[in-house]
Order: sequence, then structure tokens, then C-alpha cells
Amino acid sequence: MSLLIDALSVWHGTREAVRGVTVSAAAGRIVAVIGRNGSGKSSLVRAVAGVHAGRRSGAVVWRGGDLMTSSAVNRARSVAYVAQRPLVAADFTAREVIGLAGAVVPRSTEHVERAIDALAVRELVDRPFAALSGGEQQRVVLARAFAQHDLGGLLILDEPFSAMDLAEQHRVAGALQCLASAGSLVLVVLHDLALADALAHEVWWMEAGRLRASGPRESVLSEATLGSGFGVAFERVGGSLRPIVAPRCEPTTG
Amino acid sequence: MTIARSRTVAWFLIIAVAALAIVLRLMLGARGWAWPTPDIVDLRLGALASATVAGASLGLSGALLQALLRNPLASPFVLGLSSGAGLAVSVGALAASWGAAWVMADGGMVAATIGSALALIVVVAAGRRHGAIDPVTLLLAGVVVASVAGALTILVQYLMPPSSRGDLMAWAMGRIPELPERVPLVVGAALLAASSWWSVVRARWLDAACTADDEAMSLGVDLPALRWRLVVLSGALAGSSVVLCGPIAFVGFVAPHVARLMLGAGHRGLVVASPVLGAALLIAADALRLAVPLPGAGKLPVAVVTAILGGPIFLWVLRRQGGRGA
Repeated sequence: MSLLIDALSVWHGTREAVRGVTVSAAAGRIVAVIGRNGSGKSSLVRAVAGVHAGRRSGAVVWRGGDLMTSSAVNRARSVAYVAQRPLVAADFTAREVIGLAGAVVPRSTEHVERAIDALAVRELVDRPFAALSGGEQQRVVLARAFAQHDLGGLLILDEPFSAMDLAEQHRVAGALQCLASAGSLVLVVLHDLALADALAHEVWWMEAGRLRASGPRESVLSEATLGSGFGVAFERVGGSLRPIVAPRCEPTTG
Repeated sequence: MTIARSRTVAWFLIIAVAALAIVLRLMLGARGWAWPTPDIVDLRLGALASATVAGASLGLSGALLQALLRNPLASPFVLGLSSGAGLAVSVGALAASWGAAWVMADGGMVAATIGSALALIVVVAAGRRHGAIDPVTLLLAGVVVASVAGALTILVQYLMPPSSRGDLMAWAMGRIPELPERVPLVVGAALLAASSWWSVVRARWLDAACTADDEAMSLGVDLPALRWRLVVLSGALAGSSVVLCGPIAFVGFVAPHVARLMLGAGHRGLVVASPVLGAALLIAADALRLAVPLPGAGKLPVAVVTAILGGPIFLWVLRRQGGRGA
């Protein structure tokens, strides 16, 4: 089973944010979507998740159906999504937020409890969501997506690590790897290229709305291509076991 | 277990408050307190039925509006829906006085629904900034719409024939009729029942709609369809209450807040408790109105009582929201 994106274009008003992207990914993989700000990463994954309300064209095929034309309920059965800026405009507890996974498509208590354990948020579930730190809120919202997600399904995350500390990132990255090992396809937007290098099997590199490169992370995340695309120099440090892509200080003249 | 027990206690309190309000209203008449005889109970049941349907409609309308706009300050009165409905009914009454009696054949129900729904659409359109609803802009838009609609209602009253002007003015200040017209009462009760049923069935969708738009859609909510239904239902419920009792302030705001304090933010409890508390609040306000003596033989309009009770609570919630940076 694989995700096929065919000639996908997305508009925000009159601006074409994604321009004819064609790419695919197999189940059981983690795909990192990278690129500079405004390159179309979020617009791409929002359109794949079926939550872009504006104009779009092309096709997004998953499990034999076009996600662009599916009903919201049918999409929710096979695709779980976490937005870049999670919002909960009600005084829900963390458990109530996670329980929203079954608000429209029923989910069993077992699903919810498994998600709570997978994201290690059991100690947070009785606290008000609004009182949690940014990283804790992200883990709770991820737990909601895990509870909605069936193994073998498609999980789409837009910058899920942005407010997490290192320990939280480590824990969540491990949970995502477990999902992929069990056959799920995880599409994750990342700004942290070191994390993308450590986590992803494949990388989709967006630039000015187009797909600049896609493929196994070893081929896409090379120092030379990253340097030219991001406008800063990169080098690998730390040996072959835990490679890290880190920006290098460039002395300026004048 | 603790949550279940506290919810049971909360429901018991809600039902007890509603029952107490009903008993108070049945015991209070224009001449003070008394155990009512069956004949007097029959007489007071008309006012009780009007206040029940109008108060419950306002409570449910407020809960649905707060879900629609993700804003706890939203209510039919604050957003100008009640004033819009009041203006539409006043225009209908004027048209009827000029010979177009068919406009008010349903007691003004259609006119009130159109008036309140139009007011909501204008307020939401004016309350958006950069494509998103801004709470402060929305409230200001509601104040403007309510003020303009209120001023136009006064103009319409001025144009009315003197014989029916007094009746319209008394209604515009909020009046719970002891002998309600049958059509608005029955239609209002049917609308309330249908809206309550829909709200209970869709309560979990309303919970999911408290998240960001794209997350709500990813959870399976058909957000555009849900929002249109919320606009129509909250507008129709506000319009129904206006037809029955005139524009009444703050019931649609206070009832969902008290329900939320007692039962939490989940809409399964909220959409049931808000109409019960809205009805209890309006019945209690009507009883209080009768209990407060005024110079001469007059009685306070019920909208004055609800405004005096609801205004401070609104300011408290506004301050609390401001503290959260909303």
C-alpha cells in the first residue's frame, strides 16, 4: 500500500503555494517534509490530509481512494492529522482532548489508553489542557492523533516537535518509529534537519511550492545540496552511528 | 467515580434550581405571595410556558453560538441577534398595520428568524480579521448591529399607528405574556425540541469543533455544513424567543456559563443543561420582577431584571478571558 500524490497544486487566494507536486511513499516509512519557510510544506501536507479549504487540483490516492474527494468522515477513518498550531478553545482536560479522536468516528477505550501510554502522557490526563506546557500540549494532541490512527494508516504531523524538549522529542520519535515498523506511513513536517536525518527513511524537499528533491534521506540530506538550498553550510559530525547535520559558523567580511 | 458523583450532584442541583424557579413563579402573582389555587395555577401556566420556551431557546442558542464562534462571550443578545429579530418583527408588525397581514400570519416567527440570522451573518462578516474571527472585533460588531437595529426599531415604533404602538413598545422592553399566542408558543416549543435533539446527536461534533479548523475537519467534522446549521438554528431559536417575549438580555450568555461551571466543557451536558438553566433563569427573573415593588402599580420589564443580573457576570467573564489573552 502506498500514498500517491499526482500533480497536486494548492492555492491560497490567488497565490499558488504548491505547484504540481507528484511524489509517492510506501507504507511502513517515515517521510520528512523539509524546506525553508513559505516553501509550501504545510500547504502540501494540509492538502494531503484533506483539510485545505481553498482551491486545489490533482489527486491524493491512499488505500485506492482519492483523499481530495472523500467525505470528512471517510478521511478521518484512515488519516490522522496534527496541525502546526494546535488549538483547543474549551476548558477540556487532557483526557477529553485525547478523547476527541472518537468524536465523529468512534474509537474504543483501548485505542485511547494505548495512545496515552505510547506518548507517555498518563500523568497529564487529568490536568486542564490549557495549563500544560507547549511541549506537553503537543504530546497530548499527538496522543489524540495516535488514538484516531489505525496501524497501517496514514499519520500526518505538521512540526510536531517545535515546543518539545530533547527528552520529549526522543520519546515521540521512538513512538513514530514504532508506528512505521507496524506498517503505518508517517508524513512529518520538520525544520530540524538533524532530527529529519535521525528519524526519516525518506525526505521530500519543498522549495518555492515545488518538490526540489525526494528520495532516501541519505541521498537528499547531503551537505552540498543542503548548503545550496538553505543558504548555510552544513557538515556531518559525531561519526557514522549518530550523524548530525549542524549549521557551521561562517565568518563574514567587511 | 468522583467525576461521575460530582456530575450527578450537578444535575441534581440544576433540576432543583429549575423546580424552585417554577414553584416561585407559580406562587407569585401581581398581588404578592400565595399558595395558588388550581384556577390561579391555570392562569399562571401561560406565563410559565412562555418563559420556559423563550428561556430554554435563549440558553440553547447561546450554547450553540459559543460553539460556533469558539467564544464564551457570544450570546444572541450581545451579538445583536435579539435586536435583529426585534427589528424584523417590528417591521413585520408595521407592514401588517399597513395591510400586509400575511407577514405576521405565523406570529412573526419567520421574520424573527430571518432578522436574527441576518444579524449574525453581518456580525460574523464584520468580526473577521485576516480571515479569522477576532473576539474583540466580533463583540464590537455585535454592539454596532444591536445599536443600529435598536435605533431602527424605535423608528419603526414611531411609524406605527398610535393604537398598536404601546403594545409594541412593551414587547420591545421584554414582556412575558400570561396569555401567549398559540402559534408562536407551539412553533417555538417544536423548534426547541428539534434543536435540542439535533444538538444532543451532534454534541461530540461540537466538542471537536472547539479545535482548530483543520484539526476539526481531520477528526471527521464537516465544518462548513456544521457551521451553517449552527447559524440557522441559533438564529431561529433567538428569533423564537424574541417573538414570544421580546428581546431579553444575557439569559443566552449566563445559562451556558453556569452549565459549563457545573458540568465541564463537554457539549453532551452543555446542550441539555443550558436550555434547562435558561428556562430557570427567565422564570426566576419573571418571579423577581413580580416581587419587586415599583412606585404606582407598575412592574419591572423582565429584560431589566435579566440585564441587572447578567451584566456583572458578563464583565467577570470578559475580564477572565482578557487574562487568558483571548
